[in-house]
Amino acid sequence: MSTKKKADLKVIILGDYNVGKTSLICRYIDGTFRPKDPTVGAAFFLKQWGPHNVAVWDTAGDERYSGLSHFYCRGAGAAILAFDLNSSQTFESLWARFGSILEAANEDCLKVVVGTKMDLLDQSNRDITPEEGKKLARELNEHLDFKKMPHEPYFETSSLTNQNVDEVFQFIFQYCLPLSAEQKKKYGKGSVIDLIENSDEHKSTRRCC
Amino acid sequence: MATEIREAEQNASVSDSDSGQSDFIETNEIPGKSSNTLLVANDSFEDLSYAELNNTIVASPMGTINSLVKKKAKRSLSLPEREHVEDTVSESEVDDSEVETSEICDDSQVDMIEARVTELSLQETTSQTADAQIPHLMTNTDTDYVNSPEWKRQKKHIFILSESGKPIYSRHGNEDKLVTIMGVMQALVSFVADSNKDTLRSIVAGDHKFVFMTRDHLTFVGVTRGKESTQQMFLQLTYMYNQVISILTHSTLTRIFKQHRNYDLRRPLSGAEKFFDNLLNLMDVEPGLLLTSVRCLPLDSNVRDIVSQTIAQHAKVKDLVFALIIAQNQLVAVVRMKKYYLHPMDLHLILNLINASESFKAAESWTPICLPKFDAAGFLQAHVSYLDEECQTCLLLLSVDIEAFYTLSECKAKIQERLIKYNALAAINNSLKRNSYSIQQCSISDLRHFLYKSRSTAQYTSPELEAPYNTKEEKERLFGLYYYLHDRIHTSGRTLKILFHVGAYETLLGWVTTGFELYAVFGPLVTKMSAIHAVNKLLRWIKKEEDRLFILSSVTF
Repeated sequence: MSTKKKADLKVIILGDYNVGKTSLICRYIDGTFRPKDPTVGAAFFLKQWGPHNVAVWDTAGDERYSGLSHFYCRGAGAAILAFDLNSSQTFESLWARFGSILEAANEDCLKVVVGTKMDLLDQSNRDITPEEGKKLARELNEHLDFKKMPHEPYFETSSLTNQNVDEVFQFIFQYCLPLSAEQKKKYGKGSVIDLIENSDEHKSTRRCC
Repeated sequence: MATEIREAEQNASVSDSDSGQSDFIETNEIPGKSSNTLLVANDSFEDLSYAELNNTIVASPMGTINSLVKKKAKRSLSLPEREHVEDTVSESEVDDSEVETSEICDDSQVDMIEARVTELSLQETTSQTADAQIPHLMTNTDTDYVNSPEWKRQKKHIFILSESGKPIYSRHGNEDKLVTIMGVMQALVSFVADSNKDTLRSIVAGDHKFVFMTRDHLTFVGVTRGKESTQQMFLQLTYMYNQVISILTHSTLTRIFKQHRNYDLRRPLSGAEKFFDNLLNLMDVEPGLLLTSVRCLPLDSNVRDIVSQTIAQHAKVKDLVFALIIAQNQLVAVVRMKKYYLHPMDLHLILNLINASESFKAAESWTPICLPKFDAAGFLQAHVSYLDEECQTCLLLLSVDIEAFYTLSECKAKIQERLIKYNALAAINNSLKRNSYSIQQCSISDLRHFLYKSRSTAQYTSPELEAPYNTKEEKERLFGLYYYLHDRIHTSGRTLKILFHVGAYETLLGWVTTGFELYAVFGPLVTKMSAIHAVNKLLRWIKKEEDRLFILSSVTF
């Protein structure tokens, strides 16, 4: 199990209490959705991406666990900053609370802003516009080359309907650990590439960015 | 309790002609006794006195973690990392303090005024006929809520509030709506403290007991009309205090209130309500908290040896202080660092952490936990994972090193692999399925239930709850009997060694020696003689089974 130590990429998810961080990760890893008990401390998942091992850290949103943040942020190659699309307060927290926490992460850490609970969102009455989200995503990633990305690192997701969930992780993995077309084919029978195939189905419902 | 009560209270040393006194000393060997210390066992119920209260600095060991961390620093010859020992709380401006002290005076005055205003409503809550008399036009939503039959019907209330009367936690109902009544509580406490230079301990009003405990700027209040004595309520409040410390650490808690006496403690405790709720539920069903001892999962001693040895071998990692396996609130194995012991009260907090949270079932987790009896000043880091698919057998690895996660994760994988290979996990699962043991296995007629605590190992054993104690009401009643028996024996100032009590529905026998505590429940028609014989037979049975029921060896890394 020494592979865990040598995970090729460390992805962490941050965000306020009850925005759906664990649900997002469990939707991606297990492919299921059930209401989750609040996370205690931090939880560790391991995922295969082609030949690579990816460590995914799910963290508790409660402030009292902020003592742990240095531990899971250190060496993080990518961070998912999650907020509830229905609560502007959780969006503001991303700046206020988690910006400083992320200083412990890698310098070239990719920060992906992810809005959750899309299924609950009333499109005609939005608190946070996609433009604001994208703006934050751009500001957080000023140090990165956007040309390497297909679009801004901003997603609107629903863990309940599985909308855009796989895309978030693929975006991260493809950016941080790019696989050649050949590699994709080679590992194509694995779950990772299945997701890419499945993602065609979502293309119609997708897109906010 | 209008029934005829016949009691024989005896000191074992006084020989009584009509009872077979010699029978009591029949067993020389104490079942479940062991000189191998596994858990700290010197903390008895009597030690828990109010005297402790007056020491603002609780006699909890401080600096254990620090010394461990220092040792580690010395080893690696690098600078000691203190950050994770001292939790990060935002530094506040120093000039705040002077302004605040004057504010506090104002606050307490307001509290006093409020107290006078609401004294009436307190009386109403305690008297039962007051319901109809409440002038509805006058009441605001707060008092409405406090007077709602639903809230009043609760058997036990537990409140936590800050020194300035701010609500922090209430077992029933939203603490937001209890601002007024908590103000009254704080007023009562500070009135006694200010005017008499004394400490308010308890109030008894009818069949209600109000128990107060103040520690580290926090006031804990328990209100019950159950069978708990004030001292037993005090023990429960102590567990609540320990739970607060477990989340925040003692140093953080005192620092917070040193800087902001008005601080709203609900913020750092947000999301922790479930731990309080669960702990209180646990107290109602788990006798181990009353006995400050833990129950072990019945397991063949060679299987248990395999489990402990496997852990000791494969978790030989620096800075790992404790490793334990827990299944359904029962202890399977503990391996400890030399010189360090786990206290049963700390173990109950660990059980509560596992019990209260489903989130550990999803993935390997890494979380800080403070064990107040081990070191109230800092956090240990807990690696928590389940070893089986059904998520019943939980492995905990407690380390002082916040970076140890990946190392411990490897240890976990190795331990899991070996335990599967040696069929130990299957054995644990079988034991869980078998449901502990039935009272019938002891084959003692008319013995219905018992609790047996081995004092030297701080472990207890008891059979499954069977008919007639299989309904919620009957379970509660049985628990009430144990509360009564325990209290009669342990009441400070007049402790008993043996108590024989004949009640309407059952006969109770309590027996406490230096080696053990036994609380037995018989059918109502049992005579004293036959109860004594039965108890001796029971002790022999427990002795025979002790390898299975108790952890008698102590394994270290």
